[in-house]
Amino acid sequence: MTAIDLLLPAEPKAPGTSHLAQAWRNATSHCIKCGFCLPVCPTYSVLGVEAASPRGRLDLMDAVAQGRLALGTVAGRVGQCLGCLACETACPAGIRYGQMFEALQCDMGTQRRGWRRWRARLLLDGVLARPRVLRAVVLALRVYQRSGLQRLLRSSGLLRLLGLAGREGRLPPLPRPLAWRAEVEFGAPPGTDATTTGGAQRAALFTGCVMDAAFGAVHAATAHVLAANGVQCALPAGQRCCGALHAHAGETASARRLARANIAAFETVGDAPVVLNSAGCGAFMKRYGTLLADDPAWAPRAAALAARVRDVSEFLAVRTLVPPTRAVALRVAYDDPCHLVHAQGISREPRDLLRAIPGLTLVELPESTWCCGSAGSYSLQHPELAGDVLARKMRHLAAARVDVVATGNPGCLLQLALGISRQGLDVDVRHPIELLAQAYP
Amino acid sequence: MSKRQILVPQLQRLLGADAVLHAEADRFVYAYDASVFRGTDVLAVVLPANTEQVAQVVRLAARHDVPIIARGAGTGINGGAVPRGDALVIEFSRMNRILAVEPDNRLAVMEPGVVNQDLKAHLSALGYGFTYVPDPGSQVVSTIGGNVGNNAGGMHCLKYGVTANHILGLQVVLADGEVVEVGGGSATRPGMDLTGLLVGSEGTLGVVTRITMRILPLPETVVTQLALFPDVSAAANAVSGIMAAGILPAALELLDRRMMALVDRFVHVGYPEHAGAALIIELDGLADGMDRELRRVAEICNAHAALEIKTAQSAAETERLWLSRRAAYGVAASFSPTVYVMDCTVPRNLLAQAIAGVIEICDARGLEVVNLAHAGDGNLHPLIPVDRANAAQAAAATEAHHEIMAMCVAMGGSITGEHGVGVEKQQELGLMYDADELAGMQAVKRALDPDGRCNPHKIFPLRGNVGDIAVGAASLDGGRLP
Amino acid sequence: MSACEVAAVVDAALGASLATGDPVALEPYRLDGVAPRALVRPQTPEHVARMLALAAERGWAVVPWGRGHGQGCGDVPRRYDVALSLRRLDAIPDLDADNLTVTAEAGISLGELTQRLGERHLVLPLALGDGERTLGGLIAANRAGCKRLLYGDPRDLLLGLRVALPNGALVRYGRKVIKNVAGYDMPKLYLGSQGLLGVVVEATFKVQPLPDREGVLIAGFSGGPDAARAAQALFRSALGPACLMLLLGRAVQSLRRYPGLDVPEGRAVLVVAFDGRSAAVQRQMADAGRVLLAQSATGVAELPALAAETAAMLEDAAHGLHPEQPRVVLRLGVLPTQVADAMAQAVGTMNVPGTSFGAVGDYSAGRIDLLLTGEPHIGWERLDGRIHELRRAMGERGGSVVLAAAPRSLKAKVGVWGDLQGAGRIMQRIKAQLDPRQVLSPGRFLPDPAEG
Repeated sequence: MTAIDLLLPAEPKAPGTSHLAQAWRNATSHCIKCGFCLPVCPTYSVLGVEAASPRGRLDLMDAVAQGRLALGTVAGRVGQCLGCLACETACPAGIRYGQMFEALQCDMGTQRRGWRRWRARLLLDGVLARPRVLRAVVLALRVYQRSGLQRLLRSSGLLRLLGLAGREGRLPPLPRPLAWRAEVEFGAPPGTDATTTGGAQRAALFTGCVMDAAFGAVHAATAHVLAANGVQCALPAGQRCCGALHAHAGETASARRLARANIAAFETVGDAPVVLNSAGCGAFMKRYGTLLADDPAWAPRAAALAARVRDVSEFLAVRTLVPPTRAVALRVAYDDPCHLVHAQGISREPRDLLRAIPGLTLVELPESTWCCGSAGSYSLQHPELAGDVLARKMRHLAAARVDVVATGNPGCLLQLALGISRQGLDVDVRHPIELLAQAYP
Repeated sequence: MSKRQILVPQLQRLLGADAVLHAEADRFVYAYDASVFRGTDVLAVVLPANTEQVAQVVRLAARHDVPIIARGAGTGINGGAVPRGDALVIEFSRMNRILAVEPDNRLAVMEPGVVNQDLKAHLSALGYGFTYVPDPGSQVVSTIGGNVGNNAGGMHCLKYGVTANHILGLQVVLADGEVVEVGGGSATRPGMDLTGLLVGSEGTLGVVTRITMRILPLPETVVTQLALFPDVSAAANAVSGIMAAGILPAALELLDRRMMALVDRFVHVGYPEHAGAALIIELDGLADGMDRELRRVAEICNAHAALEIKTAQSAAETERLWLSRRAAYGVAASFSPTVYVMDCTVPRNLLAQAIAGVIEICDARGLEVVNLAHAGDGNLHPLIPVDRANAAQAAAATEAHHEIMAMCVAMGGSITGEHGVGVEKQQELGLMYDADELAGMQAVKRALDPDGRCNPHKIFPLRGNVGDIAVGAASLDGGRLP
Repeated sequence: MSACEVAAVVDAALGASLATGDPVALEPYRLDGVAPRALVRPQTPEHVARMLALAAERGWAVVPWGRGHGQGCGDVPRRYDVALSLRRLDAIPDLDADNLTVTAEAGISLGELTQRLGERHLVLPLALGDGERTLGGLIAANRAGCKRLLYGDPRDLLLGLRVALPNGALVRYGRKVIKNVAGYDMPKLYLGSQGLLGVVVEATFKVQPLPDREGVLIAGFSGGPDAARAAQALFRSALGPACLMLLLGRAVQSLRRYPGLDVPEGRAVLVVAFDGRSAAVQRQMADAGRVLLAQSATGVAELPALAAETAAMLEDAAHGLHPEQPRVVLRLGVLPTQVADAMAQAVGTMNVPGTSFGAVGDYSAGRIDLLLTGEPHIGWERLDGRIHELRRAMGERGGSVVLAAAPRSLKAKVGVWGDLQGAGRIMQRIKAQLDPRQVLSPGRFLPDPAEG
C-alpha cells in the first residue's frame, strides 16, 4: 500500500438515510470537476448547460446527499440524464456516476405517491414481472396491430413505460409469443452437476421480458449461433424479467424479488454461463451481487450468478468461432448500446463477430458509443431532448450509407427503428447475432 | 425586487427564455470550476448565440452595475471562473462555430466556445495537413475561449510556445458593451500588442467573442521516446544537456517515481520499479537528420545515467505514452479525496533543484507529493493529495503551496506557468510583483474596465482582509470562498 | 525656462552630470524640425526613473531615444522638452546559456548583442541584419526579423522587461522563464508601444543555439504575382522555410549590386532561407528549389548563408537603397494571400513622376515596405490623396498603412498611423491611465485626449 492509499476518503459524512446519502458515503472517490465527462455526454452536447452535464448532475446529487439542496430542486435536471454512463467510461478518477444516479432514482421512486406509484407498480409488477400477463399483452398488441385498435392501447401505460408511446405504430410486426421456441431445438437441460462432458459446452439462455415477447427472432438466432458453435443451450424454467426497469424506477423490492427468482432458476443448470442478448439485462444482472449484498442468505448466490452472466458477444469472444460460411453481402454499421459499451466495457467483441461474417462490410459509425436516446421511458418525459439525441445519431447513420445498423439491446433496436422511420432512411435495424445467424446455414 | 427579478425578464427579452438560466439547480452548478474552490450563488447564467447578444448582455449588466464572468468549460484549476459576489455568467456553449479555416494564410477564425479537441478534429478532417498546436491537458473538454483567457500551455510549449504565441487577433466586448477588434490575421499591425495583453487576462479586461488563431502544417515526422533515469536530478540534467546541445524537442515531459507507479496502474506503459524518473521526449520535423538527432539525444541521456531508452514503435504505443502523461491528474485524484495541483516555473536549468526543494518542503510537513513537469519549460506540477476533512493537512498543504511559490520566485521563476492566478494565487502574486508593479497592471485594468465589472476580485491581491481571503487555507478547508 | 536651465534642473535632481542644453548636442535629436530643450543621457535605470518623475512634476515632455533609427515613424511632436538617450545603458547583466535566455539593457546595439551571444554559440533571431538599432528600439517598434517564420516575432521571444513608468516607478514584468501567466502579460503591451507607456531600460529574451547550417535560395521572377505564388506554395508546404521575402523595383536593383550575389533575371525576387539540421536544410533547399522552378522562377541561386547586409535590407528596406535615403516609407500590413495584390496596388497608387520605388515584402508577416525616393514634381504633400486612397483600399481588406517615414508636410496632412479604430481607443485609454500627465512623447503616436 502506498502512502496515498492511506489518504482515502475521510470526507465529512452526511447523516442522511436516503439511498443517495448512502451512495455518497459509499463512494470511494469524489468528482474533481475536471470536466472530461462533458464532451461525451449527449444531453450536455444538445443543451450546453452545466446542470445537464454529468459533472453538474453529480454536483447536484452530492448537494442533495449532503442536505444542501432538496431532492425536488434537482429532480428536473437529473431526470434529463439518459443513464447511458458514457461519463463513467470517460472519467479519469473512476467516479461511479451510475450508482449515484440509481440511488437518486430510488429516492424519487420512494417519494412517488398516489396513482403514479400505483400505475408504475401495476406495469412493473403486474405486467413485466409476470411472463404470462406480458404474453397476453403482446398478444393483444398483435391483435391491435392487425385490427388497428389504436385507441384501445394508445394510452397504454406499458407503452409509456417502455418508451413506446406514440411509436407503437412503428413497432416491428410482433410475433406470436413463444413462437420462436418452436423453431429451436434445445438440448436436454443439464442437471445440477457442474461438470461438462466431453468437448461439449453448455450455456443457459436468459430470455427476459420484452426480448422474449417481442424479439423472439433474436433468441432463435442466438440459439442457432450457439448450436453452430457446438454449444448446448439450456432454457431454464422459472426465469423472469431481470428487474432493471424496476430498479431504475425505484421499485427496489420488486427488483430484488425478480433477481431471487432468476438466481434460483439458473442455479438449476449448475455453473453454465448465463448468456443474454439484451445489453440492459446483462448490465443489471452482472450487478445482482450488489443488489442483494445486504441479504445474507442470497448475497453469495447473487454474486455467483452475476459472475456467470455473459453477453452473447462476450461469450463467443473467448471461443474460437466456427467460421461462418454463408456470405451476407451487406454494409453494416454497429452502434454500441450504452449498457454494453459503458456499463460492461464491451465494444470490440460484437464488432469482431460482425467482421467474421463473410461478405459483410463493417462501417465505423462516428459517435457509435453515444446514446441513441432510447433510455427506457426517457423519450416520453423528454421528447424534444430525446429527439435531438436521436437526430444526431441519424445524421451519422445517413452519412454512413449502410444497409443495416446493428445493435444489441431491445430499447436501442426500437429507438433506431423509430429514428430511421422518422428520417425516411433505407436502413434495416438488426441485432448482430441475427446477422451472424444468417451466416451459418 | 431583487436584482435577479429585475434582470431575468430583461435578459429573456434579449436572448429568448431558453438562453437564460435562473432556477436554483441551474445556478448552483456554476459556483465551481475544476479548482478546489466553490464560489457564491450567481444572479443568472446566459447562453448568447452571437457577439451582438454578448454586447447586449454586457450593456445591460453595465446599466445595472452587475459583474460578468465569461466561462468556457470550467476546467481551470485556479478558480478563475468561480463567482465572487452576485454575477452574471456568460456561458459560451452556444457560440461554438468555426467560422473560417484558411491554410493559405495559416489561420483559423472561431467563436470562443469551440472545444480545443473539436477544432483539431475539424482541421484534421479538412485534410489540409494543418493543425492548431496548443494542447493543454484539458484539451478534450476545454474551450479555445478558456484557453485564451488563461493563456493555456500544454505538452508542446517548448518548441511551439503557449496559447498566446498562436493567437493572432481577438474580437472583444469591453465592459461598457463596445465591440472592438484587436490584432488580426496579419502579423503586421501598428501599435501595442493588445492581443498579447488580453490573452491570459483571465476575463478581467473584457469578454472575448471571436478568436483568430494561427494554424501550422503538421510535422513530417514525429518520434516519441521514453527515457528512464535513476532519479529526478539525472533526468533534469539530461534535459539541460539536450537543450544545451542545440536540440529543440517538441516535448520534454518528466514524471517522478510515484507518478509512474500511479499511472502505470491505469495505463500500462510498464514503467519499471527501479526507475526514479521518466522523460517523455518527442522530436518532430523533417525526417532528414532525425536519426542523427535521436542518436545525440540518446548519447546525452546515457551520459546522465539513463537506465533505458525506448522509442515508441507504433501510433498505439505513442498514444499510450501520452495517455500516461495526460491521465496523471485524474489518476492521482482517484487515490485521494482531493488533489492539490500546483503550477510554477523556474529557469529550466534549475529544475532538479526546484523539485528537490518541493520534496523537502512537503516532507517537512508530512505531505505526500507526486511530481510532474514540463521539464523543457522549467514548469513544475507538484501534486499533493489532500483530505480536506483533515484540517491540519489542508492547512499544511496550503502552507506548502505558499512556500513552494516563494521558492520558485526566489529562484527567478514564476508562481504560475500556465494555470493562471484566479483566486488561488492572489496573495502569491504579491511575491512576484511589488506595489508599483501591481499598480501598473491595475492601471491597465482601469483603462479597460474602469468599474471593475469583468470577473471581479480575481488576480490581484485583495487588500485589507488578507485573513479572510487567504485563499489557500480558508478554501481548501471548506472549499468555500468568501 | 531656457535649455541650460532645464539641464541644470535635471542634473540637480539626478545628482549627476547627465544633461546638456548645448544646441549642437541637441541637433541630432530634432524630430520633424522640433528640437528638445535638453538631452539627458542617464547611466543607470534609476536615473531614467528619476528623470521621468521629474518630468511629471515639471510637466515636461520626454522622448526616449536609442539610435534614432525608428524615430521617423511618429507624428510631429506636440511638446518636446527632453530627449532621453538610453545609449549608455548598454550592459548585459545576465547571459544564461544553460537557460537559453539573455537579459540586456535597452541601449545596447543589436550588433553588439549578436556578437556577445555568438561567442556563446547563441543567437537572438530578431534582428539578423542591422547592428545599429538598439534593443529598446526594437521593442518600441515591435520589429520582426527576416526569419520570423521560423523563430517568431518579438512577442514570441520576449520574456521580461524592466521599465521606468511615467510616474517614476521602476518596475519589472515577466521573468527569465519561458512560461509565466502571473498577472497581465505586460511585456506584450510594450511591444509596439512607441515609447508611449514607459521607458524600457532592460529586457529578457529567449535565445536560440546557432543552427547547424543555413541555406539561402534567391529566385528571380518576371513579376510580383509569380513570386507571390511561389511564396504561397512554400508557405503552405511542410518544408519550414525561415524566411520568405519578396523584392520589387529598386530593392531588386540594390540586391544585384551586392558583390558575390548572383541574382537571377526578373523584375521580382524571392529570397528563401532555411536554418536547422544539416541534412534537413540540404533536403529543404533541394525541394524548395524544385518548387520555385515549377512556379516559373527564371532561375534559382544558392547561397550558404544570409549575409548581414542582405538581412539588413530584408529587415529594413531603407538599407537597400543606401546611400540614397528614401523620403517616404509606407508600411502595409495585410494577409499573406493579399501580399501580391497589395504590393501591386501600392506601387500603382504611389507611382508619381519624379519618384521611383522599391518594395520589400515579408510574405508570412503580410508586411510590405514601400519606399519612395526622388522628388515628386507635384511635391510630397500632394500625395495625401493617394495615401488616403491606399488606406481606404487596405482598410477594406482589414489591412493597415503606416507612414513610417515622410517629410513633415506630408505627415501633418495624413498622419502617420491611419485610423486604428477600436484598438486605438483601447491604446489611448491605457496611455491615459499609465501616463496621465502625458510625459512620454505626446502627440507622436496616439491622439492625446487631454490636449485634444
